[in-house]
Amino acid sequence: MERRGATQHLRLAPRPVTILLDILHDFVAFFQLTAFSSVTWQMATMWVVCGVLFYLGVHKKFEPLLLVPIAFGALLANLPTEGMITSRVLADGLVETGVLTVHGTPLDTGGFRIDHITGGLYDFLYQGIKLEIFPPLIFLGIGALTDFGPLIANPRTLLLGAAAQLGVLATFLGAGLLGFNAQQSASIGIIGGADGPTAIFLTSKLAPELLGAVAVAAYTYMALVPLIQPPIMRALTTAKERKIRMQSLRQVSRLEKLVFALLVTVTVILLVPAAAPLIGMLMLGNFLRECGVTERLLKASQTEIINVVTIFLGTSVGITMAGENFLRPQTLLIIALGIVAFGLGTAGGVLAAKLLNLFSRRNPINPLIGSAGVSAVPMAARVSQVEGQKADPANFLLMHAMGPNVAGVIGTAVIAGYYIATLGK
Amino acid sequence: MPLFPATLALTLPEYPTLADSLQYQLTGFLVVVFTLGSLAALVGLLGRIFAALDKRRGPAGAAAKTALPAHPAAPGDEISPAILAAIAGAVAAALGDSRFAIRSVQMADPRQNLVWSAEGRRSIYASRHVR
Repeated sequence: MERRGATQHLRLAPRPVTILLDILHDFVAFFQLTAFSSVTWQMATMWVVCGVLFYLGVHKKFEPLLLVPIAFGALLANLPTEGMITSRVLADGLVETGVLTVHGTPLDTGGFRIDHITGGLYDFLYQGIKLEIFPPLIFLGIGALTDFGPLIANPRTLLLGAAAQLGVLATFLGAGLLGFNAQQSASIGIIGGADGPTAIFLTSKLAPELLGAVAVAAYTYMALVPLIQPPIMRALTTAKERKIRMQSLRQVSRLEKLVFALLVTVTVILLVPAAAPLIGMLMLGNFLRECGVTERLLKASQTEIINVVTIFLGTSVGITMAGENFLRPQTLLIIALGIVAFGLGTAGGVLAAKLLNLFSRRNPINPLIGSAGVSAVPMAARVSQVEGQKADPANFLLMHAMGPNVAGVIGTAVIAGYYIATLGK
Repeated sequence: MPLFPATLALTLPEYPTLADSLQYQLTGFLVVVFTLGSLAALVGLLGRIFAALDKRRGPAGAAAKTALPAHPAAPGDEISPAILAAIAGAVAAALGDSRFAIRSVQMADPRQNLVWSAEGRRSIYASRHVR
């Protein structure tokens, strides 16, 4: 008001000066339309967190394909954007994102006609996570990229993939002791499965409020597998065990691989129906790969589909990382529990391999490949290879480690299915 | 009447006790081990069936299996001088000033999945410091 009075007083001044002052006034008034006043301390803090994630993804190359989109999505979530995403503050102070508003007209017949749906860009894209569409599509690509030959040639390694889920189960207990409820504990525990899409799939279903923290912890630790696993592997094995040379794997025919894909699909879905979206798409992708007659579909699954979905999945996860949700003591606990889950999963796989050796002395397993049961394909298998070569430079464990590695993917999907079936709301 | 009685897994409270959680997790572990163990048994059985079928086919079958249609890039095919020049250039770029001689170049068999063996070679090569 005072400013307007001042302007009126200055109207008596020469015209060019008046115009200049009017422009200045309008320029200052324009700032009321900008978003600077909407910036909160949580947003500013999250910019620093995003900076750290960009550093890890871009400079350190920690799972950059996921961490970079997640970081960018998190940056968008912590800017006062318009037309991007709609947020709603819940009673407990958490922020719910991806809220669509449905406008409609009640019908005389008792129904409801939807006239239009409003929401920002990511309100719609986020439905890919909310409706559990993106993770199974990523699994389609993973299936199309995975060779299950080593697993088929040595099916014992499926048990290593099962044993590595020990980390998931033990971390559930730890999370419960720290005050998380059952759904949240399951979502935190699944970090130990080292399978990002499965972690996102389960968390979006059971504890969507933890999605950002769980996804960041899962992908960061997956990138840190070469640092986390070796000390545990060395601590649990003797020098002699690390030098075990495994028998060469037999060649697996294409028909055998096709039958395997169908067998896994039918068996796992019959036993754990809740794992169907993940296992079904994983094996569809693998069937496309092995059947040899769907080259275009295979190429699309291996490249275009998985790449496009990765962008949307990463940014949609990041967009849930509003400061109000992420800057909580819970996040630090989740990150701490995540590394425990990884460590226990690694130990479970290695110890299971040692246990199997008690029953099969003629054809022993090098326990170093047990650690690959935590998924993280193929990095965990490469860690087994590198550690094996440190003990015996002429020992090649890579193909052997791929067995438990891909078994871990199936195992994590199964345990996720168990949690969804029993804890799903 | 339900087929199975209600289990702890289906009645787990939101904040379970440690004993309840432990029981729930052990059940979960059993589910995973049973599922993957069943798969291991079935895949093992599958392998035996395929091995038996291969055996029944005998050498003739095996020969028929290997007698795949000729591939344009099968081993033994002549390698064009342009490809040889490109390989020599790549070797020179990798070895720098060192003198070298390429004694032979063999075409890889594209019918085999060589991705992992190539990865093995790559990691060994990367681990050596070229002087």
